[in-house]
Amino acid sequence: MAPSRPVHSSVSAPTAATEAPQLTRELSLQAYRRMVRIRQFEEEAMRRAMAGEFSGMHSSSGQEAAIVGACLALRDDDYITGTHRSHGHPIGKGADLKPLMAELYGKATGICKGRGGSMHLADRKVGIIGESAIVGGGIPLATGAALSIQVRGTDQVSLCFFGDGAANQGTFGESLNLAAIWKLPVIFFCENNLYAISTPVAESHGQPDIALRASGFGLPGVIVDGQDLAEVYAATAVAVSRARQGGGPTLIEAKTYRFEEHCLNLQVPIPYRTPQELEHYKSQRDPLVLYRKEMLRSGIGQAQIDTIERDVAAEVADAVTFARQSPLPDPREVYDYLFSNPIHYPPEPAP
Amino acid sequence: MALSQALKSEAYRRMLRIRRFEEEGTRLFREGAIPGAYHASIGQEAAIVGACLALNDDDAMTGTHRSHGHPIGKGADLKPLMAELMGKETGICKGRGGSMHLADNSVGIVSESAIVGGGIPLATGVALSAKVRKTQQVCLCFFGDGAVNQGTFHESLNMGALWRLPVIYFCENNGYAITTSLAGSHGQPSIAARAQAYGMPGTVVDGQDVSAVYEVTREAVARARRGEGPTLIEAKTYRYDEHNVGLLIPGKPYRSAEEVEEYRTRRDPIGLYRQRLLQEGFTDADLTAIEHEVAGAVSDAIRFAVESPLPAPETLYDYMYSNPIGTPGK
Repeated sequence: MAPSRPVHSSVSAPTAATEAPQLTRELSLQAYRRMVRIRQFEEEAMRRAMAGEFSGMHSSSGQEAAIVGACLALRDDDYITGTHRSHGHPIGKGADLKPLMAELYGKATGICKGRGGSMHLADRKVGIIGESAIVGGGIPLATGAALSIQVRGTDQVSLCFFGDGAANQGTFGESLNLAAIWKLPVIFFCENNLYAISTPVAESHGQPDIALRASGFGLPGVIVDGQDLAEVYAATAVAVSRARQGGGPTLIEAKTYRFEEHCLNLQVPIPYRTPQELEHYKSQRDPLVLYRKEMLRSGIGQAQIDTIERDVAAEVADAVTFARQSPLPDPREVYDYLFSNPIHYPPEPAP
Repeated sequence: MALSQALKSEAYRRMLRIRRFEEEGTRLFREGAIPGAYHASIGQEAAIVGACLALNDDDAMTGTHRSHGHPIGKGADLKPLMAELMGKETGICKGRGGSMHLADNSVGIVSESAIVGGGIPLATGVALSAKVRKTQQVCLCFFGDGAVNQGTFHESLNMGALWRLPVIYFCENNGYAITTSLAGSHGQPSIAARAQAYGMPGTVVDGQDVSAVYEVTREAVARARRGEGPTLIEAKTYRYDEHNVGLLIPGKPYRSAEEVEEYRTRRDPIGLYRQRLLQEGFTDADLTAIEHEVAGAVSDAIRFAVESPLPAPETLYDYMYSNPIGTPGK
């Protein structure tokens, strides 16, 4: 049986729907553009990876509304941390696609000069301080970034993306408590796509709502429909505003869904989700399709939407060309960027 | 379920055994007869004994750095316990555990650990073992207010709830993690309120009232035995002495002399329970007899420990591995 739309409830309601921040027309177009950029980037990257042009990846397809809704509520100078599934996060924050694609190819022109790759890239230009394949590893980092903001007295915020699996790591409990007690400007943003690889939330969480965990640590917890961009944006904007004003952290749980397998070429011998469930999300709950309808309803023309999609397709094609044509790092630079005091290759002979 | 008359006198006896053992232990530590560090449970006796009395003899427990009271609460013999503190061969761990790492298996203690929060996953694992073996045993896990902020608490409670394990998470909230107050270290003040995050019941109880602690623990134990999973109990209690004997905290005191005095004079679990027993049909002579008996048992334990030998140096490497390694040069 296909699951119904997730229950939308506010565990400790930060705002009434009437006063929820609304997306302007300009932001709506920007939101759609960014979601399309993520979708097309990921689809093209999957094709290129399957063709053997670079090694594996974790696709964010299906989770675009959660990512972009959250990122659009941030300023350019705000921080974010990501996960193993984190190509969408820099794109959601407005990153250039070329150095991102080049990074997946391990090229010298990549955003981390090809050293980070898919799972450990950090696009500093858009405030990403780190993505990490260590499940739950980004939560204390985002908390630390928020502490730095508080100490330096700026009005930035830090937004931490993590998944439903990470919510069971000790780092989650430790970080949420510290952030609450110190009223740190951090938004803990859980993209709950219902499966930690193949483990369903129902088989790994004492109770199914991650947002319910917030009250035990003394912070508000909110559940949003992660396929609904406007809803994610509104809830995140409220949390960001609270954080900027010194009101402390918020836990947001966006109920979302991943369209692809956990990672490219992963073969899970026993099915953990049904084809019907997947089909339901793809056909009924695709965040791009849902938002397109919303835009048309609000008076944005089909032509504008088509233009965005065409522009993005060209941009993604350019990014691939750029990545392919870029050189690999010089082997002599293998030890560069490891330490602030560089070591030399080949090692200098002992005197 | 309330305590029976027999259990009432046993509750009083065990609380007194902890108090007198710790008072004498503190004195012996100051005199140099006990090495290492000494963390006394004085003030927390009702929380300990109320919880332990709700268990069967074959139920398991885990403890903390402040854990002399836990085996005594579960009914341990005082002699090998005192000998352990002195590092003697007759100690419950043959002198190898000492004050902070002893494990009195004879009363179901799996381990005590000075690693804050370290016992919580162990207790969860013991409960999983009971469930796998279908034994009907439960595991009672003691920890403090500081341990609640460790990741192990979060991870263990989630698994305990998810798998409906027969474990009782029992927090002795004495208000301070060494010198750090609860208000200075917890996002919100109710530890019991964290239970709902994991989908288990959380209960707050007056940790200075042995009957109240017994009743809530009894309920949690019954729930665990029925296969309905864990409970988080927060017993609000107080430590009379410094975090450990002889610890000097520089700077501004973290708790006021008035606060300590208030607990000692008006919230003492043993004083309160003595008054209550007199109202519930016990005579002064009944209670005095228990007090004499306990004083005698503690004196006997000290004599036993003092007279026991230290471990032979050539046994240094014994009990480390199931396949023993030889002492160098042997």
